[in-house]
Amino acid sequence: MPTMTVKERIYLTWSYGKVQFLVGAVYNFMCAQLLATSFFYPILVDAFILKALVYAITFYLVKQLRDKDAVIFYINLGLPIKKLQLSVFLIDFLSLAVLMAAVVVLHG
Amino acid sequence: MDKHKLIVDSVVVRFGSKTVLSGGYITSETGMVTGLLGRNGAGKSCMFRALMGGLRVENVMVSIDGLPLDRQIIGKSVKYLPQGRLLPDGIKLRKAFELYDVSYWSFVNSFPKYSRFHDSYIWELSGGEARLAELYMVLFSEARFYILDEPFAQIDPISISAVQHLIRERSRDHGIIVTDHNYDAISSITDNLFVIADGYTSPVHCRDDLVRHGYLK
Repeated sequence: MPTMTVKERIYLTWSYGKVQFLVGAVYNFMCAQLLATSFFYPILVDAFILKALVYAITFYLVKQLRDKDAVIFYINLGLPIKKLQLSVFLIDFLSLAVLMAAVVVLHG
Repeated sequence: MDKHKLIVDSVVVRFGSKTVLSGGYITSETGMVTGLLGRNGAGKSCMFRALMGGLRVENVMVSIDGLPLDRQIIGKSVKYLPQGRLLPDGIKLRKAFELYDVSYWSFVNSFPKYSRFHDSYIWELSGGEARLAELYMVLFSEARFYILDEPFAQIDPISISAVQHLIRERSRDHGIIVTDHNYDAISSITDNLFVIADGYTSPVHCRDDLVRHGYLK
């Protein structure tokens, strides 16, 4: 099997975690907006705790509702599913961290 | 041509208190087409999903040429066409072929009507058209073994003979496992047969074996 390019890996991670990324993005922007308008620091901790809860619920729903054969497309490409799930999780949480940091920096 | 042997052994699958497979076993060799038969709910697809890692199993042992296989990256050695839809909805046909490193235009050479689907999403195709495209994509991607779960389902009779021809062609230097309820379509292309009944897999030597295991009357 030819080696997969970085671009293809990114595309496949996006394709696999699309729903989680979209839900995550809505949540992240809502938190950033809340922080920017209220500028109340303790909200940062709550945002991450609630994020973990939202992520767990989304993950469970996607797993239940997704066609049971849907993961085979990725498995056939030699992509470990656990690795894909971990990538989606990390990107989602990192994007929240980056967004919150940006708000804090912009507001001095 | 390098000869390889895939062995899937001791497959145990349970859903709660229900045991679907207690002793699943199947083997495949380069140059051979192996058929797997079984009644609905016997556990054929479960065994394949267990092998590929798409299902949590109690036990499964997979080896190629006697060496245990890392199931995390099994797709590099074994490609599986599942019973349901393989392609995710948001991926175009040409993109999927590209990712699987299969030439879309070779596919069009064999099935000319697909030239107009080059830029289509899988949901724009009928069930049979999608099935044929997925089958070709899996069968012509790089692997040592192919597992085809009901490859003839939804496919018209004329295309069935074309698919049988493709399977025979690919089996020259690959090992292929096929399961389907179309007994005639399966038996005409397989070199050896297995049947799953009561959670166990048994080899089939003659038609009477299938009757004995409750697959045929």
